[in-house]
Amino acid sequence: MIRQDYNPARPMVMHVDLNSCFATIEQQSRPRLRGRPIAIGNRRMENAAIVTASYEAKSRGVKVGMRFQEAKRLVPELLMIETDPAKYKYVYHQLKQIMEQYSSRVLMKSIDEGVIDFSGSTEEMLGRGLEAIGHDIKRQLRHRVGPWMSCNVGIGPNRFLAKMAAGLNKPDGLDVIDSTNLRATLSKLKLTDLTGIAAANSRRLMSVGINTPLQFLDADIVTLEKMVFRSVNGRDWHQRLRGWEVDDVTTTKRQIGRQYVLEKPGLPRNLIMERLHNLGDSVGSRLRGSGYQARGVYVYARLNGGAYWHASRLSAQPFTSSQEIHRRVEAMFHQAPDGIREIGVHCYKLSRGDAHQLDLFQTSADHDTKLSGIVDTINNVYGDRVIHTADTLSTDQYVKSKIPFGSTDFI
Amino acid sequence: MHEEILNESIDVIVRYRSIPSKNDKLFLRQRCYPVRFRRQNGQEISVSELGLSYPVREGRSLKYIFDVTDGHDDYRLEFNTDSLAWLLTRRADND
Repeated sequence: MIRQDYNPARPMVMHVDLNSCFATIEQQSRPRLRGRPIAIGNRRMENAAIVTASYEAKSRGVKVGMRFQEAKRLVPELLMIETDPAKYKYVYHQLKQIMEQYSSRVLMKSIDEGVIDFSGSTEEMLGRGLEAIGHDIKRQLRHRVGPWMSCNVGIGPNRFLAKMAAGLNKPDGLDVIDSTNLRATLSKLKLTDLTGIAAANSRRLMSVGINTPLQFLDADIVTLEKMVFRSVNGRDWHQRLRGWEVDDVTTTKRQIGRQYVLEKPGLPRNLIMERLHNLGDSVGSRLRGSGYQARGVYVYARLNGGAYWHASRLSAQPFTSSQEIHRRVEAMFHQAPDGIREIGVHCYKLSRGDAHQLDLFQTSADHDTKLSGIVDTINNVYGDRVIHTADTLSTDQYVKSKIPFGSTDFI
Repeated sequence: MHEEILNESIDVIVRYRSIPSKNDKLFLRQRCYPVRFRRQNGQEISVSELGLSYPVREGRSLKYIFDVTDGHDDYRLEFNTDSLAWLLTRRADND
């Protein structure tokens, strides 16, 4: 049903977002970094991309995605810190535990943000008021992790407005958007301030004369659906902006993969294959660890200059073993051109379980599956990659497991 | 900033403080704070602040990491709960 009015209900969705997550955790962990401009990257190299930056760095123009050497020109005293996933995972679990004290309906959206849905909560809980609960979450985070930690809290009638509210006053803000202040709030923002509206969507909106969030809010559904987004996305945006929930959808996992930017250009093909093998083993371990089997393997290479090469292979029988993944990767990758900058392996066509039909002529696949399972069991007891394939022996110092943004499956 | 990766056995003096249990506020649990440690070369370092402490699993083994500072340099101390041994694994200045 399409609603034309603004959702008048009491805001029941809370979005909690750690401020400049990795940088703040590093500053908490290393007190001498507090108040200083720091950038976090997956490697401490001049050309490494910045994953996140402290507020002190951001206020001087350092942006996520910028190369460290470029950022250093803006802020000469900028310090580069390498990501430390164990630390961030710990803080993620602390935040999750804190949020779960208030409702069973907690959904962590990524390593640094989560949503609490208070609809269905007891009157006793709601009687405290969501703003009081928001302050309580901030206090608990500081108590459990440390005094430098802060988070933004946003409260709204749907996930979108709650997330928008969380972004209004960074850092350490707490804001509410509801039907009474929706227009006033949107009037202060630019189109690209809206979550989900980046450059491409902004251009689409501007092409039909929608230049501000308020004009976006006032646009009729036909314009959004037929002229701007040319899909059901137009209807979703119409409802989303009015505070009606359209984002409460369960997504299914379509692929499991990893990628790696080569530590230096011009790496010989045999060393690239070793790194690719490491990625394939890691993908296999994740696949089995999360109870999936796959039918397809996709491998890609990003080349110097930005072009992509990719290949994929789909099989009738599902598989889970790292050996099977590597065989397929190897068979495809020899066609890849030279000048490789980044590599990646993904398994797709996922399904649950391991009850695949046995192939009379392929008994080695069953041995591989058993062997991979035994290796997983040993590694689960003695530590990740205690047993690994011989040709990946020297790759661990380069191909380190990093924090996945946008997914909490492997945290 | 200069960072040294180390694997040095150290002696540590710790203090324990009682804090409420996460699951049941009626019960107390002990939280460990390193206050002073001695390096292999005899140098004694006083911890002025504990930045963050967190557990890390390596298979079934459990280690506790303590990121501390003496007010000038940052240190990472690791306590292995199997061997009950302390290691200094990192030293970094922030200049």
